[in-house]
Amino acid sequence: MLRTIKEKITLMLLGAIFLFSGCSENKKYTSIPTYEEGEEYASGNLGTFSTSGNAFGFEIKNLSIAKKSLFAKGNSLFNNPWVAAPASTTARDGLGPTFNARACANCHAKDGRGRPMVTGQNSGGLLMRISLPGASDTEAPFPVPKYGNQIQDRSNPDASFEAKIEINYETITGTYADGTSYELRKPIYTFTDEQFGNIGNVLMSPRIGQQTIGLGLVSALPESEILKYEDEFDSNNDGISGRANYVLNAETQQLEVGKYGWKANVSKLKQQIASAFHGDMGLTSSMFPENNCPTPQLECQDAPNGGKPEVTDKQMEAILFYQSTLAVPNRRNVKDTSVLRGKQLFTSMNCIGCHAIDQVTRSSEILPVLENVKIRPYSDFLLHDMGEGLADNRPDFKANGREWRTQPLWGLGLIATVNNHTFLLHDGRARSIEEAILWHGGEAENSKEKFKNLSAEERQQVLDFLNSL
Amino acid sequence: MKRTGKFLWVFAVGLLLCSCADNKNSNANDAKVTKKQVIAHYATIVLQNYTKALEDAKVLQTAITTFTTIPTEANFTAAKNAWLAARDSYGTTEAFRECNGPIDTSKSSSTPWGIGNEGQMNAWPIDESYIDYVATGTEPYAGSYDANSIINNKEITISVATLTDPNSFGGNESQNDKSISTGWHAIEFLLWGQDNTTPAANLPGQRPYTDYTTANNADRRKQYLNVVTQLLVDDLQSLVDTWKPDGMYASVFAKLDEDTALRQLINGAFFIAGDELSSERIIAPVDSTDGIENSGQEDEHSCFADNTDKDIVANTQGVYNVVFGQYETAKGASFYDLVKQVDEAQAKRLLAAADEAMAKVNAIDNSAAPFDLLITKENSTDTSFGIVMQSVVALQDWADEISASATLIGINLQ
Repeated sequence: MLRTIKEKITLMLLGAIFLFSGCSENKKYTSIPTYEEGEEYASGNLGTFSTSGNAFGFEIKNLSIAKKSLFAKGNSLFNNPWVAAPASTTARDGLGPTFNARACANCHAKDGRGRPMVTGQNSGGLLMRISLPGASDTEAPFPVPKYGNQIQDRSNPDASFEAKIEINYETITGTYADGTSYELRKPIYTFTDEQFGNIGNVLMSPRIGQQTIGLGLVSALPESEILKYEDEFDSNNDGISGRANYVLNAETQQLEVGKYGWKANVSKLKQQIASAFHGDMGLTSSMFPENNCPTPQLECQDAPNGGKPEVTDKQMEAILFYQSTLAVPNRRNVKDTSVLRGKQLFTSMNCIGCHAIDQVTRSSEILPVLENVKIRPYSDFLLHDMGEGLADNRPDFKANGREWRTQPLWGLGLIATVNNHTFLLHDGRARSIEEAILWHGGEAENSKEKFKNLSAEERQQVLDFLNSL
Repeated sequence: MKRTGKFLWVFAVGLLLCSCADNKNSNANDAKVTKKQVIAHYATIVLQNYTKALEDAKVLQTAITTFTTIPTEANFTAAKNAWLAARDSYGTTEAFRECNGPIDTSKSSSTPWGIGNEGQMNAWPIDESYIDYVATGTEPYAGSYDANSIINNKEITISVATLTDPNSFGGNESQNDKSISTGWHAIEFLLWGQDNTTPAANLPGQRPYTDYTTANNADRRKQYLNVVTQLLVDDLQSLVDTWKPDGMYASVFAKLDEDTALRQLINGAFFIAGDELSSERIIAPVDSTDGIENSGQEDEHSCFADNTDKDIVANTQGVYNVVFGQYETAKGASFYDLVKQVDEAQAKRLLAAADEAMAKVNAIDNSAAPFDLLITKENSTDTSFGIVMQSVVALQDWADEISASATLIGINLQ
């Protein structure tokens, strides 16, 4: 108790120092950026202080030995590759017949972020969703005959992969208000080696693997903590009109608020995991018991399987626990002047209008410690029109072709350390945080324009703030 | 003036009494230590241990140079023995990880002292087929690059540049988590080869030395072994340099505020005992019914050399060194001393937990059965734990005591 008061006094003193330095150094700031007590703890006391390459791989603190064991088991299942059936030597068989990746960690390396496609190479984290138009906003996208909902570009030797994906980039140039020019790269995807006939002119949506931190907290968010940010008809006139996606729960067949995935097209973490096993790795589970082999993929249908289901309920329990208990890194450098100024700009440009930080978790099916935590995910988990530049033009339940879920920004500054790259956005087209900002459009157009009008020093402050997340 | 003098005198007597009482139950040599001393002494043992690890890695490099120049069975054995010796010196340094220090922080504008070479030195488990050939039938767990492995694909230039390129084939972890091409375990695999015998046979990998004489791509294998060893030596050299008193990070570390520095240094011990060692390196292989013939060897740390038991002891010793401020013969102001000055009872619990953990990991090391056999006989859900799971309990209890002790001196590890 004593110490708390002492800390408070120290903080007040610090605040006062900032107040003075802020005034004397730079008069154009109308309000003075201050450090807010505890702002570095984006996930309450559940976060990790790690700044290492394993910063996304820590479990939340104070797990019992039994729970740590479950976490370790889930971790091992996440990292290790699955193999083709039959393989009597392993419990991890049943891969494919067609797939995108052998291990979860192929697309979420070190529990982090995947890389964009490189033509001619196996995917390091990107997959291509496809569909036919026509689904209503309460239906899943319609599958493409012979290919399904996703292109599997790899397969076991006894089956055929579906197709390969080629990627080319177009350069887009732009200029900041201060005259500094920049370049963005717009990816253009084409199918090659189509094994079951011309895929044709279908709807396409490339998706990259995201870091899997803090998901247990997102699971524990009640719908009300998402819906409170909704402003579908922009009644407050700020140009931002977020709305929730309502998607099908595979177990209950009910429509629920979507939370996971680039278009918030999945409502439950377990379903997100089971669909990744199913679609990306060709592994069946209790939730998706049939192999993903659209007619006429006969080799795929006839291939041996690795048990029914291939991912056992016990393995699913371990992975779900693991994915639910990966800790969020606490913020770094939160008292640096540049970071504090960047925070202020982030707010004044209304980035915070979507990248929101004021939610409290409620009930968790996984662990009580995940409940009643005040979190700062820097996301409202709502859909927003992001403009023509980012549009995939592929609706997914209520999400239209221009809408994307606000990406949580916690952990953003550690992607470079964990994954040795800074490829961002849904298909990794942005090569840096700065490029990711410049891709924003639609409801974020105003905020982006404000960013473009900042001085180079101020832009750096915004980036310093984002790198502190 | 007089009053002040009297007051000071009373104060001095008070201090004397205090320190007498404090020393009653402790070694007479224990003086009051300050946080500053603990921090400074930590920097000393970090430097000493990295220096020893570097020296031993250079001995390993000499043995490998000798072997690749004159590839005989005897020289092969000498190289393997040198790896085992060097591995012990490195093992204790692992308690210096997760301290927001140079080994696992990337270089950036805010951290110009970052090196971030931990994964380059010690990543595991590796996909063996990324580096070299694997035995037929082991592809399910070893991977399937094989003919396209770095050694067997002649298109690939074997160089430090190739092995460290994060974006190209050959680079450490460039393809996925398991595409590991550098560090201790890459060298271990090149010296021992896959451990394809059953755990009961109590044998490490049986790579023939002729892999370096008459086998396909023997010259490329030699070249790989030399390059990857050079890289390890360079990596350790950079850590020694930065931790020297005038080194880049030592200067930064010395200027941190005391509680930050203390939190960072003790977090490494907390992390190894409570997390990396007990969870990742012991529970995971114990529980892995998903490895080779349910043996979990894929999750075993030094699976080629069967050196995991020694790794476990060295890692635990490293935690001990940080908590008690010692390295080999050097002994100085420690985290333990700070705790003891505040709460003797808690210090006793910390010491008891440390001794218990050391005893349990030594039991694994002293067991007649090898680690890869022991883990097949235990499970984390067993009602009565065997010696391997007992070590997990002891290590995690110790981590809890480290955390509780830290709280007492104003450090929050949670």
